[in-house]
Amino acid sequence: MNLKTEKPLPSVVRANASPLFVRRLRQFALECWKDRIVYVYLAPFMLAFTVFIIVPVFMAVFLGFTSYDGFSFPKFIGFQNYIALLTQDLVFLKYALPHTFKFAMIVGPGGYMLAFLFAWLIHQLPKSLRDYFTLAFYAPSMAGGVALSVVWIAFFSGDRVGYFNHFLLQAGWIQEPQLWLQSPKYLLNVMILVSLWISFSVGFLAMLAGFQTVNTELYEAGRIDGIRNRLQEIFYITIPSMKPQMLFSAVMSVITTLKSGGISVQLTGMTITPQYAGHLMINHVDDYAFLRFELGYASAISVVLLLISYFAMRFSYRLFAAKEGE
Amino acid sequence: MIRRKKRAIILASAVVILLIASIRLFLSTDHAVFAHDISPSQLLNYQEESGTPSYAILRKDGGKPGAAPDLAVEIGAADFAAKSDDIQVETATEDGEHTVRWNRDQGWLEWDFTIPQDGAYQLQVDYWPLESGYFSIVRGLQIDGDYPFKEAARLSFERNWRDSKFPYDRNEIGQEIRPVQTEITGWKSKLVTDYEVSSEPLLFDLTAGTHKMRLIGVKGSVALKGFTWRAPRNLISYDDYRSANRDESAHTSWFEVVEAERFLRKSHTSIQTMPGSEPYISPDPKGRIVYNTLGGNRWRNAGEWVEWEIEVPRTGWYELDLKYLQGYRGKTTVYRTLMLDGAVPFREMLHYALPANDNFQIRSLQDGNGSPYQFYLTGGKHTLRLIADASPIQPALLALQHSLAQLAELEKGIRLITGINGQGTKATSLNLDTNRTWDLYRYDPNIESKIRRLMAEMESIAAYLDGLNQNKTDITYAIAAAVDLLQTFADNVNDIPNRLADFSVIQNNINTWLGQINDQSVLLDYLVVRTPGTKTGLKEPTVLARIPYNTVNFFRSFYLKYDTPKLKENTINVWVQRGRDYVELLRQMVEQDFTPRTGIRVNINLMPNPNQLILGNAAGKQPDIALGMATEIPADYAMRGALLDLSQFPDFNTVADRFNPGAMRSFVYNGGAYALPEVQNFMVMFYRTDILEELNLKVPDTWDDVYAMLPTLQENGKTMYYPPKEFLPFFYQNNADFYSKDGLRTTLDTDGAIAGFRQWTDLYTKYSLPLETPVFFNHFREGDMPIGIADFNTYIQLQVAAPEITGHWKIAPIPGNRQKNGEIARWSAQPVSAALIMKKSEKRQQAWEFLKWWTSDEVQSIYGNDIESFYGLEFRWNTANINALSTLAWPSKDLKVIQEQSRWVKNQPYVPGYYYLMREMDFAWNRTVLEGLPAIESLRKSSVEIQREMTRKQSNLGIKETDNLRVPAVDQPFDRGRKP
Repeated sequence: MNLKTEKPLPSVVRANASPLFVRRLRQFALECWKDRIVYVYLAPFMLAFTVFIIVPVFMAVFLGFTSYDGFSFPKFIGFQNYIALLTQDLVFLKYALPHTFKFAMIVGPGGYMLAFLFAWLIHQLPKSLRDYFTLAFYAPSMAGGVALSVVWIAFFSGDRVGYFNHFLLQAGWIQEPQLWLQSPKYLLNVMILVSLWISFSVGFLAMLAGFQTVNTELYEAGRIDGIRNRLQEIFYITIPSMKPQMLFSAVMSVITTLKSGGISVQLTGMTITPQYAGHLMINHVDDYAFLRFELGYASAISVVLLLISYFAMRFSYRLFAAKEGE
Repeated sequence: MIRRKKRAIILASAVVILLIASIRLFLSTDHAVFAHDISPSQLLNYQEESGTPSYAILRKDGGKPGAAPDLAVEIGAADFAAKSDDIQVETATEDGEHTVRWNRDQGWLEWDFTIPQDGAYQLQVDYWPLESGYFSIVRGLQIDGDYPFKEAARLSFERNWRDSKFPYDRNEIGQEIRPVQTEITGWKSKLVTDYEVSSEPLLFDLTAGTHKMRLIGVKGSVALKGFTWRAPRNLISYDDYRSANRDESAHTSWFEVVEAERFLRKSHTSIQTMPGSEPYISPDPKGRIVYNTLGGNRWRNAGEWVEWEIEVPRTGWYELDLKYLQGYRGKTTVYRTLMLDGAVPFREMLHYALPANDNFQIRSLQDGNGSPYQFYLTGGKHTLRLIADASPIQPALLALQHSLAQLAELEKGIRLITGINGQGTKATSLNLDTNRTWDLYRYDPNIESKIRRLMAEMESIAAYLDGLNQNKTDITYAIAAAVDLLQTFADNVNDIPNRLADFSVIQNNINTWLGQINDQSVLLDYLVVRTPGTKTGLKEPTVLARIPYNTVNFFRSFYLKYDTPKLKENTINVWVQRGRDYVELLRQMVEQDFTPRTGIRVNINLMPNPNQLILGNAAGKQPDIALGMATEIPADYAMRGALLDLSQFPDFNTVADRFNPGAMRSFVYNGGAYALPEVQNFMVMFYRTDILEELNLKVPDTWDDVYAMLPTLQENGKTMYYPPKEFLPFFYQNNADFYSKDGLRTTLDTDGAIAGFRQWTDLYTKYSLPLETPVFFNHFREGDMPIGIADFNTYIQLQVAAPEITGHWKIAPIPGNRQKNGEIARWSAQPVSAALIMKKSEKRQQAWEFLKWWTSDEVQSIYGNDIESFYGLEFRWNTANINALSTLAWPSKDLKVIQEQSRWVKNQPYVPGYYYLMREMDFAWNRTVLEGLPAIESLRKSSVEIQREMTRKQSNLGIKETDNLRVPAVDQPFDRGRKP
């Protein structure tokens, strides 16, 4: 209302030669003041978000343009880090990048599809049982590191009593125990398998919730319209109706996949895996940041990782985002 | 819809029924009763191979009866009849008594004595342990030239210890500090006992007539007064004990709590008080560290005892309660022998069983039916001693060792028949043709019955142990797994050659638990002496009581202070990356010595993670001094200009002289020295004297000797251990260095480096040393790796945890390559921990004063001795200070070897990009040993990679090609300060 009363005064403002943006700012400030109670509610989240997310991301971007060893003041070196990363860093190009891609291509979509499949299967169960199964599937991602070391290290243990070796030996498929976690041949595949196992996380829960939001009348309508089997039902009704959950799940799966790197360390107990067999981008960041003390370079790598995840996310949006008119 | 509901109900009820059934199944195993029907003598019913018999086997049927009760034959120690040439003894006269001081642990002494009557005797020894460390004195005893039984080769005579202060001091934030342990010196009299084999003093069978008795030095120095051969005292049963004493029936209600931590004496410094925090613990710590319990894992070994003083108001019968926690090894029962005033009151108090529990429990000493034993005490003070006792386990241990030996025999037999002579788990390394079909019955018709007999033996051992523990325990599970494997062997005898590696699997699994089978850990909170029937009102902790207790503790954490107060003026800040115990002692010494002497106050804090130093620096918070840093940290930080160059202090050289220049090499960067060493690790060669003697092998001095020895070892199914990833000695012994003198280029492509790399990988490709050895220590004990190279930790482990091979192993310097001048170069690295000063420190002079004080001979020597006195031998402070090192309690022979090895210390220098060396060496080893790439090619690949990284790192740090990082040269063995 205030604004309207001020309107008759433009000539004065113009007389003060106040430029347009000043007036806009003032207007903005006034609007803010008007809605101040909203900002008070927003403040806790905004503060935390700024301090813990925005500032670190900008710090990382800034550090990516410097040479910083943790002690002396960061030295600005322009794009040197990125140039070195793309032209000099053999380990990055030969191991970290391809491994991350292979890992992400399998674990990302694979885990996503598995999550969808199992969420759908669980959805078919009677309601009273559903929660137990959900818990059983969700538990691994909650337990995370502990379960990893206990279950999988025992499972893939390199000696005769390791479960997997024992099983294969009993079945007569191998003659001698294999060093699953030490041998460069197997390590990445083991990592993929284990990651698939823990990929039933938030995305899985979201999908499960998504199934429950689908309007059941649609199925009936679909049947009248000529849907003949369950597959068609999923494809034509379920998936389109739960796109938001599918999108959320896809984004989560992209992020968890790209940032998992600790898994090789947990499985092998080494920061640098033999022959770089399990070297993912996160391991590369660790290597540079804490073994070589090149925090600037490490930041540059993480910025690249950030960009990759951004584009992967755009891709997911392209696939699942609600289009105009839907 | 209704059908669906019905189905759901049926499913749910099925699940519930299943759950109940499985829970019942679990509960019922808890109540299983295991029979006691296997007697020890049944287990020991086998013939020992040649050599001295074990005590338990010798006396399994009772042995000779004891001699007449009042017989005693006394021998004066000073009247020895003979002595060896290398012994250091002197006789002395004290208060009219002749004694003999036996310095050092070498040589032997011999006495003559006459026994009037056939029978079994016990030996009483009057001794005074001379000051030579914290361990018990060990002597071997031969009679007429032979050990009467195996255990006689290592009879231990313990020292007595007490806390120097009680109650304990508290530091400025109210945590208790354990005081130094004080030895109670003086003459001690002891009936020779070994609680691993018998709860009663050892019996020696002697015939009437003259005998010779010889004591052989094993460990420690001791003064001896005399010996007495006595007839054994017959222990009465509880019933006789009850009837032998007058019953004063009128009890008034009375009880007294004796805190376990308030002990009178103890036998080993390793028995320690422990802090506990839970409901009803006494005294309550109130959120602080208060040492209110005793023992636990630190009162574990048989023969370790603790003595308390109790006082009762009047003569009469009393009962005893213990508040104890005993769950250190699953459901295993542990044993304590109880002595009142130096004697076991009645037979039932020998190896009294304390069943496992998972919470503190107040339990009376009681018989099988749960009625408490009563003890007759006269009014006044008494001593009560509890002795850790493993004797009930001994038959199972011996029988199991025998079974394992038989198993090894079986394996050897099959190897002889089939000609499979390799080691390891792979068919290729085993030299095994998996496609061949065997007919083992043709060569050994009894093979199946042998396996089945072994299975039966092992099953009865498991049954005996289950009977003792009234539960299944880890070891019996391991035995069950072994029996299972043997079952498949027995069923498919002709398949055994393809599964030879399983033999070592069984051995390993059982051995893992065998090492702990003798452990007798109990944590005590207090003892209660009370008149029969008295209600004490003392409580045991319950889950319900824990909730409010922990809640209170949680809220306490909001106002209790955990940081030592920040002092400002004339104070230096020290961050230490070590355990709390180390820091407490350092703080104590600073307060007692450093601050009064210099007026500089020191603020010491723990630094759990070394990255804190970097992150703290970025945040502008950092100490003046950091202690306990890893070897590579100083150079790494120095490259970035974060550390103070210590060599700029005028008296640096005199301080640096305290250490080995080869060790200092790690701390030098670009001409400056950036840290001082604190503790120093070392590698030496360990070998089993008994096995090498048996195989007629000499201790190798050079690698050529090793190569010559290996065929003999491997023919006998044994091998040598070398830590696979330890590359450094081979390069240095071939006179190769990793970097050029200016530190800018790698020199891995030189001939010397290639020779070194080849020598290293040849050990595995050509000489088939094991590629993977999880625990060398176990193989060394078993004897299948009777020789190996390992570090200081293995030395301590062997000293502490391998009593059965005491005296059967020695150390030697690691083998080297003979040089042109005839000398054997034994170069190896000795990693050190670093003490450094940060460059941003404003109190550099004070910080330097502190470092000088801390690394000085005197302080290092006191600190090392004290820390060992607190926590036992495992905490040996292996100081880098050369003079202080020799003041620690090393056996003289070992010290000589360690000193010889430390002549040849050459640590790797740390230059920009150094971290790539380890990584690439690892890769190169894998390429050559596992993938078969020729050594020269593999090394060249690594050399290129390392050079790349070095160049990159140099430009990153702004080092130009023309710079010189001045890598210090160490090419002569270190001889300064050594006495010729």
